[in-house]
Amino acid sequence: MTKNESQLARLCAWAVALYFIPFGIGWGLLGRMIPPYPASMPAEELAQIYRDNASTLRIGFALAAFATTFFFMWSIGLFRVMLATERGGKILSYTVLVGGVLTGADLMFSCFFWLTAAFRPEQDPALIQLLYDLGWMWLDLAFGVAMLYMIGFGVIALRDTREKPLFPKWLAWIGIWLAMEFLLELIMPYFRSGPFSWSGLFNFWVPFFPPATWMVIVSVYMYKAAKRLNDEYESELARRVEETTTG
Amino acid sequence: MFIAADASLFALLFFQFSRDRSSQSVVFDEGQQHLAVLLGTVNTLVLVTSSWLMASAVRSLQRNAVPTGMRLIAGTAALGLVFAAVKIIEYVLALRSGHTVSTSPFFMYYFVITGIHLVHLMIGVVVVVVVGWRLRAGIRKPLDRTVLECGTVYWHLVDLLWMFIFPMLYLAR
Repeated sequence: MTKNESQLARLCAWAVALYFIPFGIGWGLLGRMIPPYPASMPAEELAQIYRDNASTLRIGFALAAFATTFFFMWSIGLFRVMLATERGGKILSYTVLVGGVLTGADLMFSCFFWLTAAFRPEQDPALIQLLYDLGWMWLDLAFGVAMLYMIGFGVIALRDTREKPLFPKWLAWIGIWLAMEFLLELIMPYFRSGPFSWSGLFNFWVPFFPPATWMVIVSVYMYKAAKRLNDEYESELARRVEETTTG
Repeated sequence: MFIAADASLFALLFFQFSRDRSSQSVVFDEGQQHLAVLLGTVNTLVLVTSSWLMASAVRSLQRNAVPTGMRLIAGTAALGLVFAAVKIIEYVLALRSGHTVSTSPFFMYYFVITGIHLVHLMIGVVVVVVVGWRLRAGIRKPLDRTVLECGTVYWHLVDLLWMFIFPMLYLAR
Protein backbone atom coordinates (compact mmCIF):
# COMPACT_ATOMS: atom_id res chain seq x y z
CA MET A 1 0.00 0.00 0.00
CA THR A 2 1.49 3.35 -0.97
CA LYS A 3 2.17 5.96 1.65
CA ASN A 4 -0.73 8.14 0.55
CA GLU A 5 -3.19 5.25 0.61
CA SER A 6 -1.88 4.12 3.95
CA GLN A 7 -2.39 7.56 5.44
CA LEU A 8 -5.92 7.77 4.10
CA ALA A 9 -6.71 4.28 5.33
CA ARG A 10 -5.46 5.23 8.77
CA LEU A 11 -7.67 8.30 8.70
CA CYS A 12 -10.58 6.04 7.87
CA ALA A 13 -9.71 3.94 10.89
CA TRP A 14 -10.00 7.06 13.01
CA ALA A 15 -13.35 7.74 11.38
CA VAL A 16 -14.78 5.10 13.69
CA ALA A 17 -14.58 7.66 16.49
CA LEU A 18 -16.14 10.34 14.32
CA TYR A 19 -19.00 7.94 13.76
CA PHE A 20 -19.46 6.56 17.26
CA ILE A 21 -19.28 9.71 19.28
CA PRO A 22 -21.90 11.78 17.42
CA PHE A 23 -24.02 8.69 16.81
CA GLY A 24 -23.88 7.71 20.44
CA ILE A 25 -24.81 11.19 21.55
CA GLY A 26 -27.36 11.80 18.82
CA TRP A 27 -29.10 8.46 18.63
CA GLY A 28 -28.47 7.08 22.08
CA LEU A 29 -28.67 10.09 24.33
CA LEU A 30 -30.63 12.82 22.54
CA GLY A 31 -32.66 10.31 20.55
CA ARG A 32 -33.47 8.47 23.78
CA MET A 33 -32.64 5.10 22.25
CA ILE A 34 -30.48 3.63 24.98
CA PRO A 35 -32.59 1.84 25.98
CA PRO A 36 -35.40 2.22 23.44
CA TYR A 37 -39.01 2.59 24.44
CA PRO A 38 -40.57 -0.87 24.47
CA ALA A 39 -42.89 -2.03 21.72
CA SER A 40 -45.53 -2.49 24.39
CA MET A 41 -45.68 1.23 25.18
CA PRO A 42 -49.08 2.72 24.31
CA ALA A 43 -49.13 5.14 21.38
CA GLU A 44 -50.44 8.00 23.55
CA GLU A 45 -47.51 7.71 25.93
CA LEU A 46 -44.96 7.51 23.12
CA ALA A 47 -46.50 10.51 21.32
CA GLN A 48 -46.41 12.52 24.54
CA ILE A 49 -42.70 11.79 24.94
CA TYR A 50 -42.11 12.91 21.38
CA ARG A 51 -44.12 16.08 21.94
CA ASP A 52 -42.31 16.90 25.16
CA ASN A 53 -38.85 16.29 23.75
CA ALA A 54 -39.21 17.24 20.11
CA SER A 55 -36.27 19.67 20.00
CA THR A 56 -33.68 17.28 21.39
CA LEU A 57 -35.06 14.35 19.41
CA ARG A 58 -34.80 16.33 16.17
CA ILE A 59 -31.19 17.33 16.56
CA GLY A 60 -30.36 13.89 17.96
CA PHE A 61 -31.55 11.94 14.95
CA ALA A 62 -30.31 14.50 12.45
CA LEU A 63 -26.88 14.32 14.03
CA ALA A 64 -26.96 10.52 14.16
CA ALA A 65 -27.92 10.28 10.49
CA PHE A 66 -25.04 12.58 9.59
CA ALA A 67 -22.62 10.63 11.78
CA THR A 68 -23.13 7.56 9.60
CA THR A 69 -21.17 9.42 6.91
CA PHE A 70 -18.11 8.46 8.90
CA PHE A 71 -19.27 4.87 9.04
CA PHE A 72 -19.08 4.90 5.24
CA MET A 73 -15.58 6.34 5.38
CA TRP A 74 -14.60 3.62 7.82
CA SER A 75 -16.02 0.94 5.53
CA ILE A 76 -14.12 2.23 2.54
CA GLY A 77 -10.87 2.30 4.50
CA LEU A 78 -11.52 -1.20 5.81
CA PHE A 79 -12.23 -2.38 2.28
CA ARG A 80 -8.90 -1.05 1.04
CA VAL A 81 -7.02 -2.77 3.84
CA MET A 82 -8.90 -6.03 3.26
CA LEU A 83 -8.05 -5.86 -0.46
CA ALA A 84 -4.40 -5.97 0.49
CA THR A 85 -5.00 -8.68 3.10
CA GLU A 86 -7.13 -11.03 1.02
CA ARG A 87 -5.37 -13.99 -0.47
CA GLY A 88 -6.37 -14.83 -4.03
CA GLY A 89 -9.52 -13.41 -5.63
CA LYS A 90 -11.07 -10.28 -4.17
CA ILE A 91 -14.78 -11.09 -3.93
CA LEU A 92 -14.75 -11.17 -0.13
CA SER A 93 -13.20 -7.70 0.00
CA TYR A 94 -16.02 -6.38 -2.13
CA THR A 95 -18.44 -8.13 0.19
CA VAL A 96 -16.90 -6.23 3.09
CA LEU A 97 -17.34 -2.97 1.18
CA VAL A 98 -20.95 -3.57 0.19
CA GLY A 99 -21.89 -4.95 3.60
CA GLY A 100 -20.23 -2.08 5.42
CA VAL A 101 -21.79 0.61 3.28
CA LEU A 102 -25.24 -0.96 3.48
CA THR A 103 -24.95 -1.25 7.26
CA GLY A 104 -24.20 2.46 7.39
CA ALA A 105 -27.19 3.09 5.13
CA ASP A 106 -29.38 0.93 7.38
CA LEU A 107 -28.37 3.02 10.38
CA MET A 108 -28.84 6.26 8.51
CA PHE A 109 -32.26 5.58 7.03
CA SER A 110 -33.73 4.24 10.25
CA CYS A 111 -32.95 7.62 11.83
CA PHE A 112 -35.19 9.32 9.27
CA PHE A 113 -38.29 7.56 10.57
CA TRP A 114 -37.69 8.70 14.12
CA LEU A 115 -36.72 12.14 12.90
CA THR A 116 -40.00 12.43 11.00
CA ALA A 117 -41.95 11.48 14.11
CA ALA A 118 -40.13 14.23 16.01
CA PHE A 119 -40.72 16.69 13.18
CA ARG A 120 -44.50 16.75 13.62
CA PRO A 121 -45.20 15.14 16.99
CA GLU A 122 -48.61 16.80 17.40
CA GLN A 123 -50.12 14.46 14.80
CA ASP A 124 -52.15 11.33 15.55
CA PRO A 125 -50.31 9.20 18.16
CA ALA A 126 -50.95 6.12 16.04
CA LEU A 127 -48.81 7.70 13.31
CA ILE A 128 -46.03 8.47 15.77
CA GLN A 129 -46.11 4.84 16.85
CA LEU A 130 -46.12 3.65 13.25
CA LEU A 131 -43.01 5.69 12.49
CA TYR A 132 -41.34 4.46 15.65
CA ASP A 133 -42.14 0.84 14.81
CA LEU A 134 -40.95 1.33 11.22
CA GLY A 135 -37.60 2.60 12.40
CA TRP A 136 -37.05 -0.49 14.52
CA MET A 137 -38.21 -2.97 11.91
CA TRP A 138 -35.86 -1.31 9.45
CA LEU A 139 -32.87 -1.09 11.76
CA ASP A 140 -33.13 -4.57 13.23
CA LEU A 141 -34.22 -6.66 10.29
CA ALA A 142 -31.58 -5.42 7.86
CA PHE A 143 -29.00 -7.26 9.95
CA GLY A 144 -28.05 -9.42 6.95
CA VAL A 145 -25.91 -6.64 5.53
CA ALA A 146 -23.92 -6.43 8.75
CA MET A 147 -23.39 -10.19 8.58
CA LEU A 148 -21.92 -9.72 5.11
CA TYR A 149 -19.14 -7.42 6.16
CA MET A 150 -18.41 -9.08 9.50
CA ILE A 151 -18.19 -12.58 8.07
CA GLY A 152 -16.36 -11.34 4.96
CA PHE A 153 -13.83 -9.68 7.21
CA GLY A 154 -13.54 -12.78 9.36
CA VAL A 155 -12.88 -15.13 6.46
CA ILE A 156 -10.29 -12.83 4.89
CA ALA A 157 -8.52 -12.45 8.21
CA LEU A 158 -8.55 -16.22 8.83
CA ARG A 159 -7.08 -16.91 5.39
CA ASP A 160 -4.18 -14.49 5.92
CA THR A 161 -1.05 -16.62 5.71
CA ARG A 162 1.45 -14.00 6.85
CA GLU A 163 3.72 -15.14 9.64
CA LYS A 164 2.19 -12.47 11.81
CA PRO A 165 -1.33 -12.04 10.42
CA LEU A 166 -2.57 -8.51 9.90
CA PHE A 167 -5.61 -9.25 12.00
CA PRO A 168 -5.63 -11.73 14.91
CA LYS A 169 -7.57 -14.93 14.38
CA TRP A 170 -9.58 -14.48 17.55
CA LEU A 171 -10.86 -11.14 16.25
CA ALA A 172 -12.00 -12.87 13.08
CA TRP A 173 -13.79 -15.63 14.99
CA ILE A 174 -15.50 -13.24 17.39
CA GLY A 175 -16.71 -11.16 14.43
CA ILE A 176 -18.15 -14.23 12.73
CA TRP A 177 -19.86 -15.35 15.91
CA LEU A 178 -21.30 -11.88 16.63
CA ALA A 179 -22.62 -11.79 13.07
CA MET A 180 -24.39 -15.13 13.61
CA GLU A 181 -26.01 -13.76 16.77
CA PHE A 182 -27.87 -11.23 14.63
CA LEU A 183 -30.01 -14.09 13.38
CA LEU A 184 -31.96 -13.86 16.63
CA GLU A 185 -33.46 -10.67 15.21
CA LEU A 186 -35.52 -12.90 12.95
CA ILE A 187 -37.91 -13.57 15.82
CA MET A 188 -38.01 -9.96 17.02
CA PRO A 189 -41.28 -9.14 15.19
CA TYR A 190 -43.08 -11.73 17.28
CA PHE A 191 -42.52 -9.93 20.55
CA ARG A 192 -43.69 -6.65 22.00
CA SER A 193 -42.04 -7.30 25.33
CA GLY A 194 -39.51 -9.58 26.88
CA PRO A 195 -35.92 -10.43 26.06
CA PHE A 196 -36.54 -11.05 22.35
CA SER A 197 -38.30 -7.75 21.62
CA TRP A 198 -36.43 -4.79 20.12
CA SER A 199 -35.68 -3.44 23.59
CA GLY A 200 -34.80 -6.82 25.10
CA LEU A 201 -31.54 -8.45 26.12
CA PHE A 202 -31.12 -10.60 23.04
CA ASN A 203 -32.33 -8.19 20.39
CA PHE A 204 -31.00 -4.90 21.66
CA TRP A 205 -28.14 -5.21 24.13
CA VAL A 206 -26.47 -8.27 22.60
CA PRO A 207 -26.59 -7.27 18.90
CA PHE A 208 -25.61 -3.63 19.44
CA PHE A 209 -22.94 -3.27 22.08
CA PRO A 210 -20.56 -6.21 21.62
CA PRO A 211 -20.39 -5.61 17.84
CA ALA A 212 -19.75 -1.90 18.50
CA THR A 213 -16.84 -2.81 20.75
CA TRP A 214 -15.61 -5.26 18.12
CA MET A 215 -15.70 -2.47 15.50
CA VAL A 216 -13.45 -0.31 17.63
CA ILE A 217 -10.97 -3.17 18.10
CA VAL A 218 -11.04 -3.85 14.35
CA SER A 219 -10.25 -0.17 13.78
CA VAL A 220 -7.16 -0.41 15.96
CA TYR A 221 -5.87 -3.37 13.96
CA MET A 222 -6.94 -1.68 10.74
CA TYR A 223 -4.77 1.29 11.62
CA LYS A 224 -1.80 -0.93 12.39
CA ALA A 225 -2.39 -3.02 9.28
CA ALA A 226 -2.39 0.08 7.05
CA LYS A 227 0.96 1.03 8.51
CA ARG A 228 2.39 -2.46 8.06
CA LEU A 229 1.12 -2.69 4.50
CA ASN A 230 2.92 0.54 3.67
CA ASP A 231 6.09 -0.81 5.28
CA GLU A 232 5.72 -4.02 3.27
CA TYR A 233 5.28 -1.97 0.12
CA GLU A 234 8.28 0.25 0.85
CA SER A 235 10.59 -2.67 1.58
CA GLU A 236 9.36 -4.54 -1.51
CA LEU A 237 9.99 -1.42 -3.57
CA ALA A 238 13.48 -1.00 -2.11
CA ARG A 239 14.22 -4.66 -2.78
CA ARG A 240 13.19 -4.36 -6.42
CA VAL A 241 15.19 -1.17 -6.91
CA GLU A 242 18.23 -2.93 -5.49
CA GLU A 243 17.64 -5.93 -7.75
CA THR A 244 17.50 -3.85 -10.90
CA THR A 245 20.51 -1.73 -10.01
CA THR A 246 22.72 -4.62 -8.94
CA GLY A 247 21.42 -7.19 -11.45
CA MET B 1 -13.20 -20.18 19.96
CA PHE B 2 -16.38 -20.18 17.96
CA ILE B 3 -17.81 -23.05 19.96
CA ALA B 4 -16.94 -21.31 23.21
CA ALA B 5 -18.74 -18.22 21.99
CA ASP B 6 -21.77 -20.22 20.89
CA ALA B 7 -21.90 -21.95 24.23
CA SER B 8 -21.85 -18.59 25.95
CA LEU B 9 -24.91 -17.48 24.00
CA PHE B 10 -26.75 -20.50 25.25
CA ALA B 11 -25.44 -19.80 28.74
CA LEU B 12 -26.97 -16.33 28.46
CA LEU B 13 -30.26 -17.80 27.30
CA PHE B 14 -30.33 -20.25 30.18
CA PHE B 15 -29.46 -17.52 32.67
CA GLN B 16 -32.28 -15.32 31.44
CA PHE B 17 -34.65 -18.28 31.51
CA SER B 18 -33.72 -19.02 35.12
CA ARG B 19 -34.26 -15.41 36.14
CA ASP B 20 -37.67 -15.23 34.55
CA ARG B 21 -38.57 -18.64 35.86
CA SER B 22 -37.82 -17.75 39.46
CA SER B 23 -39.97 -14.64 39.21
CA GLN B 24 -42.90 -16.42 37.59
CA SER B 25 -42.61 -19.97 38.83
CA VAL B 26 -46.32 -20.67 38.77
CA VAL B 27 -46.67 -19.83 35.09
CA PHE B 28 -43.55 -21.80 34.29
CA ASP B 29 -44.57 -24.88 36.27
CA GLU B 30 -48.02 -24.75 34.71
CA GLY B 31 -46.60 -24.53 31.23
CA GLN B 32 -44.23 -27.37 31.89
CA GLN B 33 -47.14 -29.68 32.62
CA HIS B 34 -48.08 -29.48 28.98
CA LEU B 35 -44.77 -30.67 27.63
CA ALA B 36 -44.45 -34.14 26.23
CA VAL B 37 -41.78 -35.42 28.62
CA LEU B 38 -41.82 -38.82 26.97
CA LEU B 39 -40.89 -37.37 23.58
CA GLY B 40 -38.26 -35.24 25.23
CA THR B 41 -36.78 -38.33 26.88
CA VAL B 42 -36.79 -40.23 23.60
CA ASN B 43 -34.94 -37.36 21.99
CA THR B 44 -32.40 -37.33 24.78
CA LEU B 45 -31.65 -41.00 24.19
CA VAL B 46 -31.48 -40.43 20.44
CA LEU B 47 -28.96 -37.64 20.81
CA VAL B 48 -26.78 -39.40 23.37
CA THR B 49 -26.65 -42.47 21.15
CA SER B 50 -25.73 -40.35 18.16
CA SER B 51 -22.87 -38.77 20.09
CA TRP B 52 -21.62 -42.22 21.01
CA LEU B 53 -21.82 -43.28 17.35
CA MET B 54 -19.87 -40.21 16.30
CA ALA B 55 -17.15 -40.89 18.87
CA SER B 56 -16.98 -44.49 17.63
CA ALA B 57 -16.72 -43.19 14.08
CA VAL B 58 -13.69 -41.13 15.06
CA ARG B 59 -12.04 -44.16 16.63
CA SER B 60 -12.78 -46.28 13.55
CA LEU B 61 -11.32 -43.70 11.20
CA GLN B 62 -8.25 -43.38 13.36
CA ARG B 63 -7.77 -47.14 13.03
CA ASN B 64 -8.39 -46.73 9.30
CA ALA B 65 -11.55 -48.86 9.45
CA VAL B 66 -13.14 -46.59 6.87
CA PRO B 67 -16.34 -48.48 5.90
CA THR B 68 -17.24 -48.85 9.58
CA GLY B 69 -16.49 -45.20 10.15
CA MET B 70 -18.71 -44.19 7.27
CA ARG B 71 -21.59 -46.32 8.56
CA LEU B 72 -21.24 -44.80 12.02
CA ILE B 73 -21.22 -41.30 10.59
CA ALA B 74 -24.31 -42.09 8.54
CA GLY B 75 -25.92 -43.40 11.72
CA THR B 76 -25.11 -40.19 13.55
CA ALA B 77 -26.68 -38.07 10.82
CA ALA B 78 -29.71 -40.34 10.67
CA LEU B 79 -30.27 -40.08 14.42
CA GLY B 80 -29.94 -36.31 14.08
CA LEU B 81 -32.79 -36.37 11.61
CA VAL B 82 -34.82 -38.58 13.95
CA PHE B 83 -34.35 -35.98 16.69
CA ALA B 84 -35.57 -33.27 14.34
CA ALA B 85 -38.61 -35.31 13.35
CA VAL B 86 -39.55 -35.97 16.98
CA LYS B 87 -39.08 -32.29 17.79
CA ILE B 88 -41.38 -31.29 14.98
CA ILE B 89 -43.99 -33.74 16.19
CA GLU B 90 -43.69 -32.13 19.63
CA TYR B 91 -44.14 -28.67 18.18
CA VAL B 92 -47.20 -29.75 16.21
CA LEU B 93 -48.71 -31.30 19.33
CA ALA B 94 -48.08 -28.14 21.32
CA LEU B 95 -49.46 -25.89 18.63
CA ARG B 96 -52.52 -28.10 18.19
CA SER B 97 -53.32 -27.76 21.87
CA GLY B 98 -53.21 -24.02 21.47
CA HIS B 99 -49.76 -23.21 22.84
CA THR B 100 -47.76 -20.75 20.81
CA VAL B 101 -44.70 -18.61 21.37
CA SER B 102 -46.87 -15.86 22.84
CA THR B 103 -49.00 -18.05 25.13
CA SER B 104 -46.83 -17.47 28.14
CA PRO B 105 -43.22 -16.64 29.02
CA PHE B 106 -42.60 -20.34 29.53
CA PHE B 107 -43.72 -21.23 26.03
CA MET B 108 -41.76 -18.32 24.64
CA TYR B 109 -38.59 -19.82 26.09
CA TYR B 110 -39.62 -23.33 25.16
CA PHE B 111 -40.09 -22.56 21.49
CA VAL B 112 -37.17 -20.14 21.18
CA ILE B 113 -34.58 -22.20 23.06
CA THR B 114 -35.51 -25.54 21.50
CA GLY B 115 -35.89 -23.76 18.16
CA ILE B 116 -32.39 -22.33 18.29
CA HIS B 117 -31.12 -25.73 19.41
CA LEU B 118 -32.91 -27.37 16.50
CA VAL B 119 -31.27 -24.97 14.05
CA HIS B 120 -27.89 -25.83 15.54
CA LEU B 121 -28.75 -29.50 15.24
CA MET B 122 -29.71 -29.20 11.56
CA ILE B 123 -26.43 -27.38 10.90
CA GLY B 124 -24.77 -30.21 12.83
CA VAL B 125 -26.33 -32.84 10.58
CA VAL B 126 -24.95 -31.02 7.55
CA VAL B 127 -21.54 -30.75 9.24
CA VAL B 128 -21.53 -34.49 10.01
CA VAL B 129 -22.47 -35.35 6.41
CA VAL B 130 -19.80 -33.03 5.03
CA VAL B 131 -17.20 -34.52 7.38
CA GLY B 132 -18.23 -38.01 6.27
CA TRP B 133 -17.97 -37.04 2.63
CA ARG B 134 -14.57 -35.46 3.10
CA LEU B 135 -13.22 -38.49 4.95
CA ARG B 136 -14.71 -41.12 2.68
CA ALA B 137 -11.21 -42.36 1.78
CA GLY B 138 -9.99 -42.23 5.35
CA ILE B 139 -7.59 -39.83 7.04
CA ARG B 140 -5.03 -38.83 4.45
CA LYS B 141 -3.84 -35.39 5.55
CA PRO B 142 -3.41 -33.60 8.87
CA LEU B 143 -6.23 -31.27 7.81
CA ASP B 144 -8.57 -34.28 7.60
CA ARG B 145 -7.90 -34.93 11.24
CA THR B 146 -8.74 -31.33 12.14
CA VAL B 147 -11.94 -31.41 10.14
CA LEU B 148 -12.98 -34.65 11.83
CA GLU B 149 -12.19 -33.29 15.28
CA CYS B 150 -14.01 -30.01 14.75
CA GLY B 151 -17.07 -31.69 13.30
CA THR B 152 -17.19 -34.14 16.19
CA VAL B 153 -16.73 -31.45 18.81
CA TYR B 154 -19.60 -29.47 17.26
CA TRP B 155 -21.86 -32.50 17.36
CA HIS B 156 -20.97 -33.15 20.99
CA LEU B 157 -21.81 -29.50 21.71
CA VAL B 158 -25.27 -29.99 20.22
CA ASP B 159 -25.70 -33.02 22.45
CA LEU B 160 -24.34 -31.28 25.53
CA LEU B 161 -26.67 -28.31 25.03
CA TRP B 162 -29.63 -30.65 24.95
CA MET B 163 -28.40 -32.18 28.22
CA PHE B 164 -28.97 -28.75 29.76
CA ILE B 165 -32.10 -27.82 27.85
CA PHE B 166 -34.00 -31.02 28.57
CA PRO B 167 -33.86 -30.94 32.37
CA MET B 168 -34.22 -27.17 32.44
CA LEU B 169 -37.36 -27.03 30.37
CA TYR B 170 -38.95 -30.43 30.88
CA LEU B 171 -38.02 -31.58 34.35
CA ALA B 172 -36.95 -28.89 36.78
CA ARG B 173 -39.56 -27.61 39.19
